[in-house]
Amino acid sequence: MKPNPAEKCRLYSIKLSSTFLSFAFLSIKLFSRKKSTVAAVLALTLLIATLASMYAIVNFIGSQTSALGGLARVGSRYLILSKDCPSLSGGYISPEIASALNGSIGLQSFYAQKIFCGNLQMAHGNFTVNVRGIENLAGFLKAQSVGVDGTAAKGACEANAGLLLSNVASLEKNVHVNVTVGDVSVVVQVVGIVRTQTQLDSELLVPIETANYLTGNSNLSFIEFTLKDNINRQDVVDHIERLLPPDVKVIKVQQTGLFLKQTTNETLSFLSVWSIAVYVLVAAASYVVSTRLAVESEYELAMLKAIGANPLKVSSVIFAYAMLVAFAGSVLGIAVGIVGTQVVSSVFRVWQNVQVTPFLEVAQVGQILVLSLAFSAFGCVYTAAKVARKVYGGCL
Amino acid sequence: MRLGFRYLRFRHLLVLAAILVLTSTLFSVTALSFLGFYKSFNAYLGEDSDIVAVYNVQSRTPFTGIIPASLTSQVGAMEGVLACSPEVLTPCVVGEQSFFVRGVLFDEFEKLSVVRVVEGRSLKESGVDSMLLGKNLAARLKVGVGDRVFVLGGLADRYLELQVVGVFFSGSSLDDEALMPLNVGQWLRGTSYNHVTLIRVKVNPAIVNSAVIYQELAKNASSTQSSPSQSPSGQASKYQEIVPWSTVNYQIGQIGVGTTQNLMKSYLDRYGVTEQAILVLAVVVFMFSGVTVVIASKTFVLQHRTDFATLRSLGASRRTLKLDILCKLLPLSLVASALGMLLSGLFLSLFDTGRYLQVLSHQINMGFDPLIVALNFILILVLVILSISGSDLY
Repeated sequence: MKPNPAEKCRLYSIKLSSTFLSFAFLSIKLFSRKKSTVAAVLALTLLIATLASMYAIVNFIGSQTSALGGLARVGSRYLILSKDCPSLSGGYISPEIASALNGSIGLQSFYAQKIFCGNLQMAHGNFTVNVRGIENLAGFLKAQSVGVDGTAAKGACEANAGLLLSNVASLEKNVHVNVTVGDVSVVVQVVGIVRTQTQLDSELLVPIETANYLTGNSNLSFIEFTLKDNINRQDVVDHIERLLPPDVKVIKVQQTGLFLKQTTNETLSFLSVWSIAVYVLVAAASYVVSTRLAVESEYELAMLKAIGANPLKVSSVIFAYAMLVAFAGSVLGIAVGIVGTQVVSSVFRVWQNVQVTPFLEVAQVGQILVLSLAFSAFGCVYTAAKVARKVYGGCL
Repeated sequence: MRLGFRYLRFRHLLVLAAILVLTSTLFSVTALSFLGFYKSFNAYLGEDSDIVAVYNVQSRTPFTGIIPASLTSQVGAMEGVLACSPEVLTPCVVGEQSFFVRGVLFDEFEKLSVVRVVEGRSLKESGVDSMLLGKNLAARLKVGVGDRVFVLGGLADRYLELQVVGVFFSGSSLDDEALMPLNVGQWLRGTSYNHVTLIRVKVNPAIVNSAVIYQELAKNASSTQSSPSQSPSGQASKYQEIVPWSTVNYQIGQIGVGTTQNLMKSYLDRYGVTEQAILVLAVVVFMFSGVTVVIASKTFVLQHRTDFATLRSLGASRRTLKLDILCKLLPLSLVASALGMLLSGLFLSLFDTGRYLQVLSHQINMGFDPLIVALNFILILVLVILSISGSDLY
């Protein structure tokens, strides 16, 4: 029966491993007693230790950043907005979406909003302002614990002005202003000045009906909602996302997580750039180690050739030795790196009262091992090939 | 005594030089990048000795503390104070990019930090929903003048829409930030109009210094009651017409006053990060990689063992041979060291342009440091001398 490709691959890899092991065994027997082996392992150990310790420290910084982020109070406010629009005012949300979602389980508040630019005509001049139409404006202001000097706008001919707008435009309570958008205008009475410590302070707030009249359509810019406490927020958000059309998305307002993730990624990418320099030196060290072996072991290599070893076998012995040294150096280096940083951090703890607990993740251990072996292999290939071609004349 | 003929093979010399170049590169990359981060962080709020910061001593980072905004009026009224800039620093997110924003009173801010508007207009002639982007940040966000940008809070549950009114260049880490009116920064930070992150003060050092400012604040700390602020000066007074801040109580133990560089240094010092520590780290990295140089030197000697044996049989002593090798290797080491530094500069600039070298959303400004250059030369020379003098010449 013919083996299938997977079985073939497995058999091939077993054959390859056993061949490598036999060469590794041979190289141990031939070269392990050489004094230079210890120095070679030490060289790679120290290089990898540098790398491992840096990763361990960066991991600690990352964990501290996450811990700091965990201390921040995370809000429960979300927005529903158009996927492709980079701004709020340019967004387009169908009012049917708001109708379908309003009252969903888990929602604490739900406010459909529309933002647009309007012209404010008053006795002492004209001002271009951002106008925000909000569904249930009174409820919205109440939910935000907003300070209102006056009352919240309820009727279509009423509006609230933000504190900054009121100060900039000398807009006082109970005055009537003409709001114009394009050719449409409406006279509204400012029934209250609001202080929210948010962007609302620079805007004119009107009921959504007034906003729809001014813009001539009932489309929304976005929907703002908050979730109840003591519920699984992600479940509710997932449920809402499933109800939305493909061109609309839900985003969380407070992006502490994304900011912290990017900060950690920046440090890791900084470390990756630095580690390139270390890996290049690992390759160079591997070249030096294999070259030294070739120079030191001319007798052994000549003997191997004399008893019938072909060039491939000779180069494989050199390659196997370099890889064994690289593996031993990497494993020792990782261990020395972790232990070294732990020792230094203990000194810091006693000396400067700085709590540092460096650690290495399993995936990073694997990554360091694989990359150091790969760079070592790259470094020793030239010497291995050169030794295979070399004719040993007078050694024996 | 020098042997006046060539017996060291060029190819082997080249390999040794390459190892020296790589070791020098690793040392330079480590020292330049880490010191670059350290210096960029320290220069974050300004490097001039006449700039003093009033800040919250209890905050764990320079970005998270808050102090009463009304201190601006108190400090601004002191003799010898040339400019007083209340600032709110906070992280925020646009799209998938996070960065820092600074809420400022632009008139006061530009007396302390040199910013040149290269596109659009400044914040002075703009409304409250405007922002000015640093050159690097504008490129990163891929937005230009006139675009409206949707900004999400990094520390607070806040969102807002702002219009980009201009792009500025400062040549400092500010180029990775956005400037916006003070109140907009306060919205994003989630603080009230009565608080800011810090106040930067430009002083005439002959008249006033940080200690005098601290004493003045300490004097007022006990007597302060919650009331409308005393008359401020400059743009602060214009701003007060729009957003009046109240004087709020504060404990003097929460307030720190010091030069901006010392303030930033103090945050790094808390975690044991000092210039000396970074240099020690770079030297340790060099020593670790130096073992490879030692092995390479020994290999180099091994590769010439027959030549040395011949020269020894002709009467050359070990000392003469070692001196001769050193005479031939030392100029090469100096060239290798210089090449290593050059290579590290190229390597770092390559990754810098690819925006791989960023910390806290700020690009690292790497500059020429004579100390690193000198250390690099000295370390390479010492290493070569030690490894050759310690070799057995057979």
